[in-house]
Amino acid sequence: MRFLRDREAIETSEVAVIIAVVVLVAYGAYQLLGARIAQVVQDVAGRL
Amino acid sequence: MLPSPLSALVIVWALLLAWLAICVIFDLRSRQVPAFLTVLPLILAAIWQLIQGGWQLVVLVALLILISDLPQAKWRIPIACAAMILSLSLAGSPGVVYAMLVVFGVWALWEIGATGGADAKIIIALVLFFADGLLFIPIVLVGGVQGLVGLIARRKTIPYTVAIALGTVAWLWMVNYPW
Repeated sequence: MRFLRDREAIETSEVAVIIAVVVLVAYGAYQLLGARIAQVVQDVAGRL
Repeated sequence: MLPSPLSALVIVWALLLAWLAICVIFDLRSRQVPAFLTVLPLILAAIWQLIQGGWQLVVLVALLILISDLPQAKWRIPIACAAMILSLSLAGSPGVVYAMLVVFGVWALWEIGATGGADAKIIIALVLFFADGLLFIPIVLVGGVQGLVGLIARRKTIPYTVAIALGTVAWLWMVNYPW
């Protein structure tokens, strides 16, 4: 079990910043557009 | 006499924070966390999640652990994507969907070598325990600040368990004492 055996607790500074930015942007976009996206999906489903 | 629900909750939080603190100490000392400090909580969290009825999340974690042992590395992420889509189709609530997205994202980061296995297992154990992917947001925010400080101080690596521990404390605070 490669995943269970891995004991490394290391993270590069750059990766930590990139992950934070990506998650923040994704969460912000979801908060702003989530309801609109759900509406579009429902419209498409309705037309089908 | 059985403990009241409130005191039981306080005991669970104390154990959780003590576990995270021990992980941080190991990380700061050697940049490694012993397997028993990550695998055992992962198993306990999976059992807890099964008791709570969240078997879909446990199945996804089990599949990802198995997929990580596939001999051909190039097939691991595509097969994991298929497992993720299958799991999403079984998810019963939006909360489980968020939790699955975080579990998959953290596993994928580990698979491509962007994060350590101990960090990934600790985060997945926390997500399994709380069944809430939003826990990941304060963790990555603290991690981002830690990363910025690391960049300014010209440090190549950071002990991410610090971000996991502080982010979890922040999340517990926000959930229990909302603005």
